[in-house]
Amino acid sequence: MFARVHVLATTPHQHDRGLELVRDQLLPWLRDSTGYRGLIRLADRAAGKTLVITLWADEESLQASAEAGDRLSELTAANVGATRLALEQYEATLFDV
Amino acid sequence: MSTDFVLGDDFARVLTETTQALVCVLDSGGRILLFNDACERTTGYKRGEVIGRDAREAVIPPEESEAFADVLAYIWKTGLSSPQVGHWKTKDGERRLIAWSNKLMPAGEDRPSYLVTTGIDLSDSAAEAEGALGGDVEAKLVEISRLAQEQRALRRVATLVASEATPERVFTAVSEESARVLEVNASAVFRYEGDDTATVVGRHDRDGVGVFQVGDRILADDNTAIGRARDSALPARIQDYYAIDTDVARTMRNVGYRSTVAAPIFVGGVPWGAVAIAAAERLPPDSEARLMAFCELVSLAVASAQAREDLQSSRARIVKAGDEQRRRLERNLHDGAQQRLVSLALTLRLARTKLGSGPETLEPLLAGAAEELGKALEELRELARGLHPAALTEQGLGPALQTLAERLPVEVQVGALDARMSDHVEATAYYICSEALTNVTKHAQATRAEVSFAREGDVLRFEISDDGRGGADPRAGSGILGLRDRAEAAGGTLFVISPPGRGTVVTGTLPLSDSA
Repeated sequence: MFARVHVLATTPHQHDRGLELVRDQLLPWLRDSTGYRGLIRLADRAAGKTLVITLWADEESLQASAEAGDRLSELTAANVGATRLALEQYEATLFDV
Repeated sequence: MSTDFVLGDDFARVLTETTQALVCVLDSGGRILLFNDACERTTGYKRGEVIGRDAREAVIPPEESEAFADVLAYIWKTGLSSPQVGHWKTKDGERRLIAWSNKLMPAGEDRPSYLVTTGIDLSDSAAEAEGALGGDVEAKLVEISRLAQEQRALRRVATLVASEATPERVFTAVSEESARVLEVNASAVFRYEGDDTATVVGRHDRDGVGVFQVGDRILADDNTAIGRARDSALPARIQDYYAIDTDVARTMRNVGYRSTVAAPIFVGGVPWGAVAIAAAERLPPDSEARLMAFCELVSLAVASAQAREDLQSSRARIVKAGDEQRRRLERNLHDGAQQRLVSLALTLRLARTKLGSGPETLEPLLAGAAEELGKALEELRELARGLHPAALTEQGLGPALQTLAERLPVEVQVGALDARMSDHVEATAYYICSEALTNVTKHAQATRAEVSFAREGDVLRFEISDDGRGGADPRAGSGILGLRDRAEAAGGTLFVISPPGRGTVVTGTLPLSDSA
């Protein structure tokens, strides 16, 4: 399992608008992507921070979705006026859900 | 002690009366002086009817009368014996064939000379001898019943083949029936494995020896009958395992087999396997010919099973190819046009949020959106063309391929073909050609390719050739197999000639009448 982590600086309002966009615009398409295994959105409202984590079956599907992931997260952040702090990729070494 | 006493007159009389041989005594004129019991039995005459009469009037058939006179004259003149074979006629007029010995008894003091003749009736054994030369009804009946049994056995196997029984069942049946018909202890069907081995695919043995089991892979080199049958493409035999010393011979000897005959099974003109029989004694010389009749049935069974199997796997491949194409199409739509449209939707939303800002902010956003939309459209068009090019429907096969050829990175010459054919034929030909051309651009490393057509009667003949590296293997991957499946599904044919380093030629035919 692999993960792409989008780190965003968000106001509570930006967070909620971003949530809508991800849910309504991105998820339907994302779910049909090869190797897509799930999405987790984490918020620290007090610190003004949002993490969006997408999970991928293998390194191949992580790489294949990298360009679209970058572009679409950039566009989403721009839409809500948030700033993307980082875009990182990880290997999941333990997964117990 | 002397035995002379037994050789008196009484002895001669008893002997004459009891012997199974004919004993007849003639005087110098050919008159019958003595006519024993055996003569009576053979001719049906009583002694009283013939004694004193000239033999030529009684028992010598008129057609041999002259020859008889000559023999008599010779014997009386020379005094020498003259063994003869001649006929006697019976009271009923029948002829009996009799082998005669004779001895002239010289005249004594009180009697004239006379001729003793003894004969053995050959008629019955002569009839037998004639029968052996082709006239014996019994032997013929046996032969006919043997042939009938053989025909029944072959028919049983043929029925099995015709009912599309599995080859395994046919192999077993052939083993059983050939063992029964050829009256041997063991029989087996072997499949050659392309090296010097063969696999037992069917077997039968009466005596439970079980040298081979189905599935055993055994050596089939030129020390074996099945190996020789493969190499010579003719029936082969090992006449006597006791006369040779190989592993196979030892194995066979150990279980009591002396002799083996194997006949090759051909499928599609090449040796596929063999039917072999083994027996404790030397096999008769007609074994090879009789075994061949079974081989032909095995060949039919294998060929028809292969055809069924080919058809089945071809169907499976066509279905699988269809599924794969749909999946590819879905992927292409998702990763291409759909992604662009998602991105476009976000871009337009972003533009809406920027309506208040100046054109320097909006302009690049809208330009990006338009470009994205353009790309999405182009990708959709490409996919649609892959499904079924509009040019094919509107203008036909030739122009559609021309259009396709212009977009390929390799120089492709498309032969003229203006005539329209049925949708089905045009679509099949188009896909075969476009797939073959895709292979050319992907794998062949070619600089140019050529597509040509010819209509011959009810058939469209096509050929796609390139100047690439060749060496395409019809078995590897499904590319070429997929092409053949398409052609064959439409009732056509497809062949690929691809010698390494000398380009690839795909040729084939499609029936123009829309029967498929």
